[in-house]
Amino acid sequence: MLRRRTVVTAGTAALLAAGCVPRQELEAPPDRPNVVGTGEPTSGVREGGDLVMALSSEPDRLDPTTSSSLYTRYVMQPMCEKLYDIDSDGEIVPMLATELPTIEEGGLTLTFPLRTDAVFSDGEPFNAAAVAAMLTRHLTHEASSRKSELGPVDTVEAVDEHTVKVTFSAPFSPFTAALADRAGMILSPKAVEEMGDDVGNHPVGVGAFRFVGRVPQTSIELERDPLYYDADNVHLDRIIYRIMTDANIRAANVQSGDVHVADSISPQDIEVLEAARGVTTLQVGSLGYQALTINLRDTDPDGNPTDPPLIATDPRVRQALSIALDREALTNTVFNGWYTPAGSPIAPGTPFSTPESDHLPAYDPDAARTLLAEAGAPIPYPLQVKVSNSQDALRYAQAMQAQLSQAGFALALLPTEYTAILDAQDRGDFEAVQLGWSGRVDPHGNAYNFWTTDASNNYSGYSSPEMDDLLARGAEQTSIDDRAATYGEAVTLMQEVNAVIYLYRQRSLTALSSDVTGVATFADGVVRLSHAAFLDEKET
Amino acid sequence: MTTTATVTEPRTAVRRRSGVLTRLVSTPAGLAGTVLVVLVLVAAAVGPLLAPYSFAETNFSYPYQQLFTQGFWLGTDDLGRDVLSRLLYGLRASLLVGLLAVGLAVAVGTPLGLLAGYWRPADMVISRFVDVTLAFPFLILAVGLAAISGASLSNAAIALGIGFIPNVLRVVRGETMRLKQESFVKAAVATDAPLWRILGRHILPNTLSAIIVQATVILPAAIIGESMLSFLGLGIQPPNPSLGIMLSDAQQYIYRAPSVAVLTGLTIIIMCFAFNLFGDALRDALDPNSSKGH
Amino acid sequence: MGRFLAVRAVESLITLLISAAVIFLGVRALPGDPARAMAGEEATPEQLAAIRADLGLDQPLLVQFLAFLRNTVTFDLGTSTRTGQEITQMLAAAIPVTLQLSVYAIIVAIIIGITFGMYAERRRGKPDELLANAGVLLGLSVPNFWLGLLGILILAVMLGIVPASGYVPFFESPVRSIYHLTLPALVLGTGLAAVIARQTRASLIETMGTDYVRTARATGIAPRRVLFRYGLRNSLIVLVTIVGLQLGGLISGAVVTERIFALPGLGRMTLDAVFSRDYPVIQAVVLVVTFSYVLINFLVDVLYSVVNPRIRTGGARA
Repeated sequence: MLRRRTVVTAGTAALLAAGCVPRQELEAPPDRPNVVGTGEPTSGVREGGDLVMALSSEPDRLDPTTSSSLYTRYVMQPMCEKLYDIDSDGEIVPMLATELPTIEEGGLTLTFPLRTDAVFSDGEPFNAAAVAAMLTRHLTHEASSRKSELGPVDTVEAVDEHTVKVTFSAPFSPFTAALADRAGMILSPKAVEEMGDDVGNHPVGVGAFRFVGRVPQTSIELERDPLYYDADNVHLDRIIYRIMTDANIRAANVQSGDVHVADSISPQDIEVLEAARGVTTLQVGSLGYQALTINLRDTDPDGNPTDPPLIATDPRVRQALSIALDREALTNTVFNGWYTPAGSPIAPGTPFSTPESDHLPAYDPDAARTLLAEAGAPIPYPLQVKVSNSQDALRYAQAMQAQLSQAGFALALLPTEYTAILDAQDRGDFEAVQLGWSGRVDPHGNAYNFWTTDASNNYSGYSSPEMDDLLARGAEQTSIDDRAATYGEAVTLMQEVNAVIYLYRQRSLTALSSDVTGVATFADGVVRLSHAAFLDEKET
Repeated sequence: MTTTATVTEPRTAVRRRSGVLTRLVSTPAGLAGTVLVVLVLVAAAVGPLLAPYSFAETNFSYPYQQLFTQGFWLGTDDLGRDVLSRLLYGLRASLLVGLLAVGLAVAVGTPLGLLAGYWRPADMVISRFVDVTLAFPFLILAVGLAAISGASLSNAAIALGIGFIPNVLRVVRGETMRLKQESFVKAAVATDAPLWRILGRHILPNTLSAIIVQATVILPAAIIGESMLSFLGLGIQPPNPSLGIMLSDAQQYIYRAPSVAVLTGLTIIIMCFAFNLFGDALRDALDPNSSKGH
Repeated sequence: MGRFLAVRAVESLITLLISAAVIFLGVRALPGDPARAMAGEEATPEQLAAIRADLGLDQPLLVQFLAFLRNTVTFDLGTSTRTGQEITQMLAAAIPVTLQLSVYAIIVAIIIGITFGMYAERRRGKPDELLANAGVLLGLSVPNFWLGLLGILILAVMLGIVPASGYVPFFESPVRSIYHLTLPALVLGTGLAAVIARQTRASLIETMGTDYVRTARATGIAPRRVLFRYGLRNSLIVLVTIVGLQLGGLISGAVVTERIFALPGLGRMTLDAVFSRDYPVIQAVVLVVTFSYVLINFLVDVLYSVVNPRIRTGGARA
């Protein structure tokens, strides 16, 4: 009592005397290595139990062919395994296939063997015919989102009971990586045949768990599948995914113990969670990126010719914009150093990263002003930026706005709702737009469609034979080193023309209660729960 | 519902307006309300002069400063912006949104209310309009507007304003229906005065006090509405702050620096409380018979 | 009275029809179509065209509207373009949540509101009247989501006495259900409680001043009994009206409350649907909300004309 009073008195006196608390300067962020998992549960795990995971966004149809929501992958992971997976280093490893594919005829045919002990949760055997049927469905379904991921496939056939052969009309190296994502998820052919498109409401795959039910906007429930080939290593009875869209609400629920695992924790909350008792965190750099896309077109959304602004016609203005950004300082302040600056579509530390792709344009506001002057741009140069109205994007945009004003840019921010911004981006209805890409395992999926002439995601309207050639070559080369070098060259060109200016890379932050083990999350961000378990209470 | 729900409190057509102000400040609540409202208005008017920094001035090296930090009396936010400065600017923007919403509601609600109260056929049509507006959650409207023309404070104000039209309309309609029976209106009708003249000259002036009271009720509700829309991401216009936008920002880092969310919330409460207190006292002062008993 | 109700019924129908048209057109005025929202970040033009044709979005507006009306009348609300689920099923899951939350919030609001209102009336002319009134006005001045956020921070995270989220169906476990919904109901009910308190006080003052209450008092009936027997009974009628009129505000409040506490109700469903341009779901949800609003207010009118044909509703939130 006495001590508290002293402290209070001393505090008040100090306040009155100095009038204030000294400023606390933000420190440079510590090095933050990836923490990808809690490790495999060894001894002392409790068999059984229901695990609740807070999911940050509602998945769409639980159908690998038509799904376009990334969160569908989270829910599918325990109940619908893929042909391949990625490991903690971002390398592709076999899952339902037993070996990496054998590539022959200069990349025109590809053969891979399958597990012989896997069974779908409806009791149907998992075999080459099922895989061929699913891949064919990806290629032929009219609402398929997978078609472009699989490339120029000619035929898919079952060579024997457990071997699949795929032939191409042109070599396409990103194919294997696609099979480590949704395109590699295989549904029971019987279920697909019986339910048709309705299979998305009752998915049947090979997995540690099987689908029980879904309450829209609320929850998805899975239960242990006794038919799973590795059932001995499955410990939980049930997994319940609950949809919670607000990051701080997810954080609160982990802390209060209402949920056991939560994905996409905000950098604002992660330090509090790390310090909290009974909570542990996982973190891994993501394959995606956030970037500023500049509209280079000389036509309006309806195709009529317009007088494009200087930034569209003069690369020096775009160059100035890129070097006027102190990417390090921005990520450090806005995301407390939890996210990392980005200069290219290729994530550092992945098999395809090179010194070229890891290169960040150096911050130089004076040089930026000089470039603007050389280009004959008015200073401040006005630029309208459409920004998604998510909190992270808005915070970053405001910081960027403040920083760019130092180098002679006057940014006007237009917060736009996510669906509307996608639409504006498609139609070319923007001067500059800040949006992200969730990222793919293979760099092809992060670069080709954004940079080649008239490609589906080429929102800037950029076109050059040089870039088209580089990115086409990257998809056809078969050795990883050759491909990495090609993508490195492409990045150097990207940083010269700046049609897309890369800003930062997110980190997937996951929080879980400390009595849970066997949870892992890799570069694709998916939180893997198949082998999760509760720790035995006596042990903790 | 609306055909029966009319707001009628016994009032006399002729009032001694000079006494209103005296009566207003003669009660403790009235005095407190008036003082608070004046303070809020002054803060909004001269806020930018008092603010030590610009609302947009970032200090990347000093985010999340705590209360009473040197140079930042109320701390800084996630981008190192001075909270005190932003509160002062934000208060102004929130008040503006509130006033815009009230203005819209009064501008549309008053003529419609006069017409509905005076002319039965118009009432039929207008009442349907009111029913639809009331039945339609204004939040949906706000979400829709934000999606169509982008999230902005003016869109938030428009959505809120439309949502409050029925409140004004009902009050004016009720007053008009009552005044229609008064002898001075009947006399005007007998002289064949045109409709606009009867409504504008004879009825409208006598509904003013009811409208003013209604406005003081709507204003705080609109300010809270703005904060709700901003919380849902529908009122944003960065880097210009409004209290709602600040609160929605601050809730993102409520675990790291709870003081910003608490302070912003308190500012909203004080502001709304001021207008509610003032409005309550004003109603009593304008109409001493309504609730002070006999 | 029969004629009055008939007129009200026709009016309600007209309101519903106008609302349906407004909803239908409003939804289509949103930029970015459901095909775009469905296809997500990786859409191709062919895929968009296929989805549009599939949803009938390539039909003329009038054809779409008539189809919409026909389907509405037959309760065929279609499927969500986002999740592919039956909307009737989604509604069946969401409505009980919002209904339970709202009813609980209304009960909380009535209890708090009447208590405060009676207290304020009783203390009329005494110094603490100011305090009681200030309490009521404070209730009107607090943004309810702020209360919710602080509630979670303090009560759920720091003290751990209530859960931060979660919904347990009432019939599964009434106790746990109420336990989970207490904080949300308090948060949602605050504003309504203040309105009720204010109205209770005003109406009590009015009723207690009427001749028959004065007579009752003069004949020596205990003041407390007068208050309950005459004062409150009249106030209850006013209460029914307020709750009817406040329903719209309550639903808007529910959207925010459900979001904060991650409750799977209509509000959440609405917000998600709008953000993903799920046309059929937006239409269905808004129809349900409008319909219940119109229905409840119609019932209030019916109740009203039965209870007291002469009475006029005393200024709800004037």
